[in-house]
Amino acid sequence: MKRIYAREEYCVGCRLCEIFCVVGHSKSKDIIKTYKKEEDRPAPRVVVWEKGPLSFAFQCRHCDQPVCVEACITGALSKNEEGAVLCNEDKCVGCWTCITVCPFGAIKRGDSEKKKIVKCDLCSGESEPFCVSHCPNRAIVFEERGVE
Amino acid sequence: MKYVIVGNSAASVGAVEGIRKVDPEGTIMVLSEESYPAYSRPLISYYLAGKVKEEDMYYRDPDFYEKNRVELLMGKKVIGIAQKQGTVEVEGQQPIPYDRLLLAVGSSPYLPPIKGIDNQDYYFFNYFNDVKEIEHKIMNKQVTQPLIIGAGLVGMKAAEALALLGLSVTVVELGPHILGSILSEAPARMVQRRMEEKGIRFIFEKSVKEVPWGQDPQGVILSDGQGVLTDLLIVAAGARPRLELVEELPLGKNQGVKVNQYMQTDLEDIFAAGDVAEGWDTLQEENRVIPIWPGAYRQGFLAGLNMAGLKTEDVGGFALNSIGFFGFPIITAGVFEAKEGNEEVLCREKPNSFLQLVFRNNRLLGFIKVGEVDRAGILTWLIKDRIDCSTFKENLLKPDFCLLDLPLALRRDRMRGGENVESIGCA
Ligand SMILES: Cc1cc2nc3c(=O)[nH]c(=O)nc-3n(C[C@H](O)[C@H](O)[C@H](O)COP(=O)(O)OP(=O)(O)OC[C@H]3O[C@@H](n4cnc5c(N)ncnc54)[C@H](O)[C@@H]3O)c2cc1C
Ligand code: SF4
Ligand code: SF4
Repeated sequence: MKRIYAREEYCVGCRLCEIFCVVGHSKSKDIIKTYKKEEDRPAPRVVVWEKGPLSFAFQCRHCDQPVCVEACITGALSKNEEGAVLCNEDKCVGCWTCITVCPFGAIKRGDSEKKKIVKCDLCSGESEPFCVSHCPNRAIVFEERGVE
Repeated sequence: MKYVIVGNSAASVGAVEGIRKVDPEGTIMVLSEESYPAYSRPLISYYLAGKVKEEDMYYRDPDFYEKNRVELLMGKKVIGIAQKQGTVEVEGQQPIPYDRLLLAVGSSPYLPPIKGIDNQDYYFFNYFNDVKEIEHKIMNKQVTQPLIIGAGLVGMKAAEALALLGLSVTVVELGPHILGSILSEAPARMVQRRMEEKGIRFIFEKSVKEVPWGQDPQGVILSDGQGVLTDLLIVAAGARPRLELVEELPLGKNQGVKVNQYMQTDLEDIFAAGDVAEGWDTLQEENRVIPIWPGAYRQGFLAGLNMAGLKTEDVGGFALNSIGFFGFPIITAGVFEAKEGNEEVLCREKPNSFLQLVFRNNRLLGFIKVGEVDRAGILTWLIKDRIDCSTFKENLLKPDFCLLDLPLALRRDRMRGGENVESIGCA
């Protein structure tokens, strides 16, 4: 399946991917409205990790055999037919069992009142995830690589 | 092929999904003593506290049984297994034949010997009906001061829920601190303080000795003779695998039912998974029951694959738990205390967080993370894959530890990730 891959040699740590992830998951999908007008602004699902000159954007790997899905105590997590691992936020109770098992550290704790998790959904429905299409350096790509 | 599954919870749902992955044809019958579609047992305390509504308790979509062509018989208790005939017995019904049988019966709560308890109103905290009865009693305004026996995972979740309902909760624990199965003393005290701030009272190193009959006001008597008033007694003193159905069968059992790497008992056509089964613990290097939800699902799934004929070996697993109280999170995995003397323990303690890492031969054996739990799964992976941590051990103590703190080759491997990631093997 197509996955998002980071190319750390091109990442400058500008964090535009985080900003556009927020925009992509907002109601308006418009950067100005998202940041200036909307009340429940979503949290970014991609994180830029940075140490000195090294930085890269990281998010859920949408594993072939997702242990988070296997472990989720409520059945909130599932893998859809395209291979995206998605969270049904109505069901998630924020127990963090998935955080206990995700071998990539790719799930964030939500800080909303209800404590749902925050994770990449590959911008389901879009041809290319927002973070990928808005990275000015092509430091994140969306492609089929198969097993390396 | 006729598959019969006794029990309808995590292991059972896993088995249905495992069977259907391999065999779209065979008939699957699920027999459940409880009268609900599979629900998330860990959510019963959320339900009691009013945090989750009944319709959100269910573990799968409403069309799960239909989609997987499962005949679900609810409210049917299996009372016997006739292994020679290959049938199971249900009260008031013809024997039900099976080709492959799965025991997914879980565990039942333990009632410690307490004088007079048989004559009393007391509650367990295990099944959905238990919390519905407790809820009913609370709604009738009959409860002000619940008393919980046991400060383990279940007792503490019950305490949290009841405190959230505004009741003044007392917990009586035989051990020296709370959550003895997953926490060492220092982090346990940290969590205890949080709970005390919410009005929960703890009595340690005592047991409930007697429940005097017909007293008003009601109460219990502790092992030191002290009396404690209560109008709701909850017993959360641990659980035991439910062996009642296999007592007479010629198959190996210990604490739980012994299974091999295919989740098969000593009888070829009988499998077991979940809280009733003793699977392989990769860290303790022995077969034992690890009573956790993810492990039950995974074992059930494996059992399903094997029952349907796809031989799939279990790699084993280890204990892991994620739990939290009043928003204060705790994640633990593996072995959390030095046992053999050749372990190395690294620790970082702050007023509101605690991290303990246990290594043996530079490999992570287990951890306790309290207050600050982000990316704990990276540690779980280090345990599971037995990664040599000698060059970056100290990095794991950093509060913002992430992939950047791993050596280049490991980090690259993680960043690529996703393909061929195996099951974590939790339990
Ligand atoms: C309050 C509470 C909170 C918990 N929280 C967590 C948590 O946060 N994380 C975690 O990992 N684990 C948690 N656990 C543990 C977890 O729920 C268990 O490990 C898990 O439910 C085991 O699943 P199972 O399928 O093996 O059995 P069970 O869930 O115990 O289900 C067994 C089923 O079989 C039925 N049954 C038994 N005998 C018969 C019979 N003869 N005929 C018909 N039906 C029968 C029972 O009625 C029951 O429905 C919690 C447990 C409790 C009680
Ligand atoms: S959350 Fe973690 S375990 Fe789940 S699919 Fe994503 S990377 Fe894999
Ligand atoms: S935090 Fe949410 S998604 Fe993760 S295991 Fe718990 S219920 Fe499932």
